[in-house]
Amino acid sequence: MVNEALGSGWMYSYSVAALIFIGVYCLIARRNMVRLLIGLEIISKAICLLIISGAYPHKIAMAQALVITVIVIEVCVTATGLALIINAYRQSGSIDIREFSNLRG
Amino acid sequence: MDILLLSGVMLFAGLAVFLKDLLKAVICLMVSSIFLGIIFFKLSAPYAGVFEISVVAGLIMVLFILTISLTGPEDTVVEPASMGIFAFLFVIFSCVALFKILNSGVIHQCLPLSSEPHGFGEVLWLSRTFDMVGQISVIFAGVFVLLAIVKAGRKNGK
Repeated sequence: MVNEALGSGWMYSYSVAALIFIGVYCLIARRNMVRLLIGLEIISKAICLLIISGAYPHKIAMAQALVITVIVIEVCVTATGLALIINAYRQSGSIDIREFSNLRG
Repeated sequence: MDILLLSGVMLFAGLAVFLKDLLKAVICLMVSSIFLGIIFFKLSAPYAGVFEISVVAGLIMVLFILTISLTGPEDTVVEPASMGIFAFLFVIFSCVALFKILNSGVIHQCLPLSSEPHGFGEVLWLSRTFDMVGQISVIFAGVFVLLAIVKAGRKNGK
């Protein structure tokens, strides 16, 4: 189990796996840059749920500190990503990730 | 109750990926965050819940809606169907493996031991001081990156 203290621990581990599945599917299959960031957000949610449910109840203070760090980093990554999307849209008029394949090194 | 909240998180996260309208997708992501915040409250993590609801469901969604209003709400990007099937199969096999790993309890053992009953404030300010320095650095880095990107956009005269 993710955590034996949770009577329904298997549900939490299943939810974490499912959320990561949804996020990775979004990252692989979608081409819209806003959707790619949505996929990243969903994976981040899964990680936060994993940390909190894994720590419940004995290490919950430490887990909260870690989750707050994750959320702060998530905000900065998302803000930067969205600013890049707006700039890319102004340059090319599209938010399709394939339009930027010429940026490959 | 737990199963309802977890189902809500999964359902709205799925809708955020599969809905055609980007604005509706972002609203579904926000509802998913609110459900997750309630789960954090139920798991005795009120500070994480408050951050999840106020920052993720509030601030990040405002940023998403701002971006969508600047780029257009309709998803005009054509998605290749064949790629989606391969991605689905790849990810479903990976998740079966992940479910096995999570169920083995390895994550619980990986978390650092803290001799509770330390309060949340004590852990955050005394045990994880370096995290605070890291958070402040990340916030500054994010602000500088945003300023640089906005300045670059203005220089191009767009």
